[in-house]
Amino acid sequence: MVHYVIIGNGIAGITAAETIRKKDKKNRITIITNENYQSYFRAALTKYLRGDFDEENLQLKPLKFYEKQNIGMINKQVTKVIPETNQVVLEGRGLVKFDKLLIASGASPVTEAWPCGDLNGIHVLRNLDDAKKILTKARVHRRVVIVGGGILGIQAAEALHRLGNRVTMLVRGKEIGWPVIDACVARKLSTRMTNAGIDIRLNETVKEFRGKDQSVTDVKSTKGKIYKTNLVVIAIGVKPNISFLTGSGIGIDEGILVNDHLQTNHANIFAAGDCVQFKNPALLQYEDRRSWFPAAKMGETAGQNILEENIAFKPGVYSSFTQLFGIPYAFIGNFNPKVSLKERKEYRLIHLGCKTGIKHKAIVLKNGRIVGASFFGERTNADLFKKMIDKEMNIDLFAKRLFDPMFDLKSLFIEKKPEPEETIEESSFSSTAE
Amino acid sequence: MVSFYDELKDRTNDFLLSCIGCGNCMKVCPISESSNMVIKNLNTATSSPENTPLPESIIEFTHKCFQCGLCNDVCPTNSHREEMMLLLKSKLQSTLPKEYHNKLALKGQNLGFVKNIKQKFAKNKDILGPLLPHYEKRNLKECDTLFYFGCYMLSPTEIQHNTIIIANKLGIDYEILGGLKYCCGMPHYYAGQIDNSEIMHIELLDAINKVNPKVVITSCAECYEALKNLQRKMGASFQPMTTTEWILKNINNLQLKKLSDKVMFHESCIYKRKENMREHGPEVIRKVADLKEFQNIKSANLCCGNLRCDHDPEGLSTLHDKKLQAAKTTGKMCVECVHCWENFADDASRHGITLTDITTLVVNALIDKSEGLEQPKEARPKEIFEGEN
Repeated sequence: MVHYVIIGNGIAGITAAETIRKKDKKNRITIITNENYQSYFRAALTKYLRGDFDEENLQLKPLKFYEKQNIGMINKQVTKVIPETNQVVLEGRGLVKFDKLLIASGASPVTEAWPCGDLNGIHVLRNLDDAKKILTKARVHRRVVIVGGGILGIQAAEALHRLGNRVTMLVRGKEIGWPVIDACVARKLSTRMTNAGIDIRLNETVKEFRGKDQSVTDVKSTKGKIYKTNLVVIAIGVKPNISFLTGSGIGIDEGILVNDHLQTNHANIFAAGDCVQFKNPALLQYEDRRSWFPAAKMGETAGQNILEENIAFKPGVYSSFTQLFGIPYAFIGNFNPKVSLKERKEYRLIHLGCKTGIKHKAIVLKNGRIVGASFFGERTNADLFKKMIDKEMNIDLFAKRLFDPMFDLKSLFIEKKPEPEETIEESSFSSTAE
Repeated sequence: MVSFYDELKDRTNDFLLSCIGCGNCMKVCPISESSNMVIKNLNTATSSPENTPLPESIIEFTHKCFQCGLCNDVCPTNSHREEMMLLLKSKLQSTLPKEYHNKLALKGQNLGFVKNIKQKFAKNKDILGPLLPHYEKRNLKECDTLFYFGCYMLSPTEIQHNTIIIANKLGIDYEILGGLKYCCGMPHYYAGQIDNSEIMHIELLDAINKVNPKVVITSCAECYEALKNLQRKMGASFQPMTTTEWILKNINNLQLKKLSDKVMFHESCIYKRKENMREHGPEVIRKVADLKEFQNIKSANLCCGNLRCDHDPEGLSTLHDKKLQAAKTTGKMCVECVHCWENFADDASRHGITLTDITTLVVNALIDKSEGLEQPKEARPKEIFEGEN
């Protein structure tokens, strides 16, 4: 009997388990997790924070799903993996023997070594426990500082603002959301947020925390300003959970190194989700992969490869479809490319509605080929643009017409019949040969 | 070519993986049962293999879903919940309500029951009028322009007659393809009988190829989607066109006066959300009448509910009430698709709202009506359709 072991109960882990179970009904599957919950919709945590729904709706699978699918669970922290003997070492001397292993240990939030960074009231937002802690405090405390201006920071700010808190956001860059929100949208969004009552401080971040009786009271910023607060949420990025793999012989760099089949340097050990770093950097840029859908897709592919189906992971371009402050937003491909002055001529930006209203659409072309797109307010055709970017379609001739509502975008994807000319050529060729 | 079912399954798989469980889709859903739905149960049901026993509430909800696509607009990950519901519907074929079967059994060349077709035809024969010789015609001539009327040839609307009046006015050469036999197959697709639908697409393509047209024009949103499918997936060489688009293209050749009517415009779900063709209708209306926008966006987006195949008519009627209430500001609502007309007809007369359509507006706006095949009449009541089976 084969024993499949999966470290991690996030979307990558559970999707892999499900994929394996669909095709392999009898062999043993065990998931090892350090969280005391069934797997849940992590990406909806900010919604939970906002009070849109309760814990039951947050769960990913119905009750007794694990029993019905015959998936075993171990609630312990993994301390070590020994590839030579095919063993996983658990906290408190437990050992699990595996035949195939999938590491989907996810990522954890980054914090910096700020003075007094361990005071009560300073939180990160990554899992359900964090959200619960923030929620209990947010109902009591009325002043919140959010460190970081990424998508999580914006959504957390929105949620805590809805709960009636006075929110201050400290953003390190000169715009919110750089580089995954385009500059024009960032301006529109920050105006909207400021009008709603959120205090956004650009080019500013934490220098130190101050507290009284082990609880945070002030945040001192790099500009020397002091913000009174009782609750701090840090959202400045995540790093892969790979510390338990150091010295094990499994190849790691920033994340766990895998090939395009999600296989590590050991043939029976795979990795998926946020903890992964691809060996081929052209295939995937590591920062771009840390979101829900790629993790789920990797889980599926890893599950198939564990069953030896030999499927390569095709990620497509980076895309982020979300809602910011209740407004639909789509960001696809390499919209904010790092270019030198020389290369600048190759790029072209076409945008609509930049100066007026809330709606905004923009695309970036490189040598006539579409490489990035950004939609704010309305994104009816965003998925078609993603398709175009995936194919690197040359749209130089009709780029300006793309935003015309009368333009039939779907007609671009019609697969034409092979032209009959080829056969004519062949016949003429043979006739001359005769 | 990938089969329709496999294509749907592949796409839906990605949607399921990208679902982050925010529950926005169930919040905007116009069906009242949606408030009890939990995303985890719905997703698990959708990904479960066929013939898995499912809770009654999910089965009921699935058959009530009419694919309006409101859920698509609010999804943070841009997924299509309506397509996931369609996959679930196709897995639940064994529990399909009888209203669906009654409606679908009439249609198709090999799938329809001959007896039922004859009954229905006998009842609706006088509707055809001058179109009678074209009904389910076999000897089709080759022609550049084909009017594809499909099953709506027997519909109590005036749209098909008006289309012919406009065509005669333009003086073009055309051929007509229509009748229950030449159904496009989209009603079957949206009822979850996806393989049947594919067969009917192939049969339709054979019939159209006899005519070998350059453009195929239809007034039905479902037929239009089928024609687009033929073009996209089956390599058909013709250009599908909606009647509205065709009118807009030829509007300079028609001598039109501006009417004094103030009309609200009801957009078809398929044109709007699936084909991204929302601009043609308003454009034509602005040329011939006074267009008023729906104020309340939520009720303006409500769908006619045709794709539910007459299942649970009372529930649908209450949904229509919201929309028609919003239309009372002008008292006149204009539709683009034949099925929107059919579904709204009864409820509109109950609310005292005049239901009209784009072709009727254009024909009324014609300065010289003499060359037409027939003068436009007041639309006939819907009773003709009732009492079948």
